Amino acid sequence: MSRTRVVLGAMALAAATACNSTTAPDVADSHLTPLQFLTRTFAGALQVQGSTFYSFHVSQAGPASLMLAAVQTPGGAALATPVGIGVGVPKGTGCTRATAITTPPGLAAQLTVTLNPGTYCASVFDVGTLSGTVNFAMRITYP
Amino acid sequence: MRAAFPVQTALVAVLLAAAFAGAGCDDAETPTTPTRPNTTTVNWSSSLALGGSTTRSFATTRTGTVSVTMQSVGASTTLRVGLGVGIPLADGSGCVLSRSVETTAGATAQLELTVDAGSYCLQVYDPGTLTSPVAFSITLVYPS
Repeated sequence: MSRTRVVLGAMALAAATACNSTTAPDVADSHLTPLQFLTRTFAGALQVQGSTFYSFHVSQAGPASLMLAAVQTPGGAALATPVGIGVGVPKGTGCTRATAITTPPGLAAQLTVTLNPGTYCASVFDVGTLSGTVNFAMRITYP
Repeated sequence: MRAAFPVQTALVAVLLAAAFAGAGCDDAETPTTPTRPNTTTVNWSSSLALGGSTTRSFATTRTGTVSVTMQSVGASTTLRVGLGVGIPLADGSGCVLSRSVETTAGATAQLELTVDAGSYCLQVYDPGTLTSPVAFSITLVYPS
């Protein structure tokens, strides 16, 4: 073996082993289907000790989010009053809540749940914080 | 008798291999300046009627902070008007305010709030302080 061969061999070996490159996973075979989301606005009046709900149908399993966007006086003044919001299933003329929280209004979703395909309801209810009827608006996003 | 691979040859091979190994990788990345999240700035000038309100919509594509600055209300620095951000009703019948303030003009944002991606509306209204129509100017910054 010549000196030249020794040197070249060492260089090739060093080059081959020195780089710790990684290969991106091949996702060409992925069968994932992007979720399609629908957005609905649920607005109405909420009475003292009252509750109201909106039914919606989920066609794909995935996250559903509720954004209690606004609570207002009947005259339209924005309030920061917290009220209850929840997700459940319609039962009779009501909504049986499975998950619920108390939250002030805001423009970032306050409640997100993962739902399987089916019919559900989004509920808004007084948790004892109301002293009079208020108007509310909720944005519901679901797959 | 001479050795098949003298010490000098071995040293050269090791040094060249080390140099070649370092040069063969392209892992050294030039540091980059962190990019700021994209925002859109809108300067909105219009007029507000006595007892009225005026609204414009905007859409965000990601979660972030919306900032609203009432830059001017006529030539007054003391006249208060209403300023709010909310969501448009689906039927297009109005803007339901999530948060609102009554404010004079100023250089500092009077409203700042976090929003998700979606459609929103900005409203200016007369809270009962106007005695005549007034021109206003607003700077709206939102994530895009």
